[in-house]
Amino acid sequence: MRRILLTLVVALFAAGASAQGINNVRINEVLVENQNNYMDDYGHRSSWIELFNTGYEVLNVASCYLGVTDASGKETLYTIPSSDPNTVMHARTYLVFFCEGTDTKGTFYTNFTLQGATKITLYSGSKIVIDEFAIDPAAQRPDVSMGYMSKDGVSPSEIMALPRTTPASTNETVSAVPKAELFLQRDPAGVVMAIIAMSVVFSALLLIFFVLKGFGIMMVRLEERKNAAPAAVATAAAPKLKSGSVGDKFEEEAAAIGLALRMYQEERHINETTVITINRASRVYSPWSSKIHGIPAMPTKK
Amino acid sequence: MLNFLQSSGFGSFIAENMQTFWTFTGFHNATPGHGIMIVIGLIFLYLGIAKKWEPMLLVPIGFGVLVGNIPFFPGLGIGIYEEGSVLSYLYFGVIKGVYPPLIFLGIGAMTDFSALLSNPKLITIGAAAQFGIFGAYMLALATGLFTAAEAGAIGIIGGADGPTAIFLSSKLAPDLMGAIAIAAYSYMALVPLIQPPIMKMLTTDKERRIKMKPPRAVSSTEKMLFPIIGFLMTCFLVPSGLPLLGMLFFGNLLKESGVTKRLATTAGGPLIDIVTILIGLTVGASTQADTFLTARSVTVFGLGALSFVVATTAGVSYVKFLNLFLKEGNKINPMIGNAGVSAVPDAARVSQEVGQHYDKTNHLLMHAMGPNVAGVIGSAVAAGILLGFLG
Repeated sequence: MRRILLTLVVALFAAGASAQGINNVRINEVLVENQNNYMDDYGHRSSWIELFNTGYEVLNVASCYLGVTDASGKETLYTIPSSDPNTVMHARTYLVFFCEGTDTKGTFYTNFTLQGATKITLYSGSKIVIDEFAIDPAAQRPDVSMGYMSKDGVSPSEIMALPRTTPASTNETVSAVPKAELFLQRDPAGVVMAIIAMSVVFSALLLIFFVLKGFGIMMVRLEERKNAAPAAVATAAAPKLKSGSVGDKFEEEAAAIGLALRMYQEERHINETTVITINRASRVYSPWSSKIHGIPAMPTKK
Repeated sequence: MLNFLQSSGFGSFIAENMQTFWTFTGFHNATPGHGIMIVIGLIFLYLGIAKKWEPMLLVPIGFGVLVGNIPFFPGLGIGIYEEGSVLSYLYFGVIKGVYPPLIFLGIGAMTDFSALLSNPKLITIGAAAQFGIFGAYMLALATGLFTAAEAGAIGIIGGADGPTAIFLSSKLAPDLMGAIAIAAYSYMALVPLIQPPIMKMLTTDKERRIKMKPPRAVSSTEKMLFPIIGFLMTCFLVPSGLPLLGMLFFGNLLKESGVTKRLATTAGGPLIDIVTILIGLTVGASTQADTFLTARSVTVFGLGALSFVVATTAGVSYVKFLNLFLKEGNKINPMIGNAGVSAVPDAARVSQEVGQHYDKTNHLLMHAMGPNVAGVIGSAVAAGILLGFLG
């Protein structure tokens, strides 16, 4: 029973992990009007869809579905064949599907075209939507693809007409201005940086200052209260002890022990090799330094 | 015999091989740049060994400069910048910023923050002295020779903290890292020369003789809680400072918790020693003449010196400003303002020595340790800010 449960749990986690992996695939770039652009191995130019594994794990899109919806809402599905090793996507890699409307040329040729398409959908094997890509048929221009790209290289990517088509490679082809240079453009003399940074440094250390100040006051008060309690006890006990009696001796001893303990607690004692302290002399046991584990077992004669 | 050598071509064969061997020697490949760098390395060794100026840093760096400037035929896989060489593997810890946090771990395990805890107002001096970083940043931008990221990396020299300088320059300006690291460590060693004239120039005789109240005793509970509180507050504010601040406060917790003495001893002893050897030697070796002797490197050195001057000026001036609001008896001696730059404990030692010069009975060392350790925190925070904005 336990084994079955364990297997189920493992299977559940594995399925979850796998599902999570496939969710990292996105429809990254689409070219509807391919007139003078990317050519397939047959020498044909057709519309194409690029998938991108945005994650860092290997996954397989076999048995997933690519669907295209036209203006009337009719959807045509293409099943990505299984048992083709080329459907395996390594981390941060791309796959391109040509949309010729024929499925006789192999795995990467869909049975639909993108003419008049309003939406492309990628489904998992169990028909759960992984990603959708909306298309405005009227806005499509020849040899201009749509895809994910960041406007300025810093903000998150969004779908837009790309400056150049990039099948099977990254869409971020326009060199982005580094963050530091963007900052420099707005603050060429470095004055803003100095003001902001000094404010933050001061704030951080002032914050520590206020906390330490408050904490210090609290600790001093606690210390005073702690000192006040034994003093009160001593005052109360004082009348009961007669001069020259055992009580005097006890007081002296108590004072000496108290002083020694206090100095020890506050680490005021001097660390000299000749001073006897109440530190533990024995070494604390640790399996890391245990010699027992380092001694090989005696061979036994059989 | 001679006839045999001539007829068989054996002699010319030997001569050819000797000539080939000659092309592999350092003598054949030497340039004036190598000579200059070797002289610089020897000066570092002299300062470290004979003058005892920061020997722990200058000796490994100085010898590293010699190691890095032995001329050789490129492609033998022995240079620090050659892929797969032993030195390049050791240098990996520098370029990937591995060594500086480990050094901070050791610093944390060795630092006693009692001075700071007993008089928290001194902590703000550590903040004021960080102006040296941003002053140098502005100056570097004004030269027009550096990008914003490079200017940020140069600015951190003003923090007077070698590991922080290496960490930040490895992220922002790897090309300038050798120059920045050498400048930072050199000026840290030269703190006893750079700071006293500025301190004397900015203070009056009366100010130099101010006697500060003795610090109160700090309980072990306070010392133990400080690294936890300090870590949470600084890293929530500047998460990019996490590698340095996290390790600094962790090391201090190992020391103050009282239950991990073995770990604290290792972090503050053998571990920091090993990393110091590796970082010193490889940073020194990274100063190969062809990459190091450039106009930009020389400018970095100039800016580094200015950043120390600005930092010291800001620290001392800030204390004078603070004194305007403090009652008589609570005033701070401006001679501890210089200690706001990190350079632990040299800057604090300078405060003590200059203070004693004017009043033999005035001991400023413990007071100066407060801003000094605050400077370590401040420079790590400043590095985090620069990394956040420019990284």
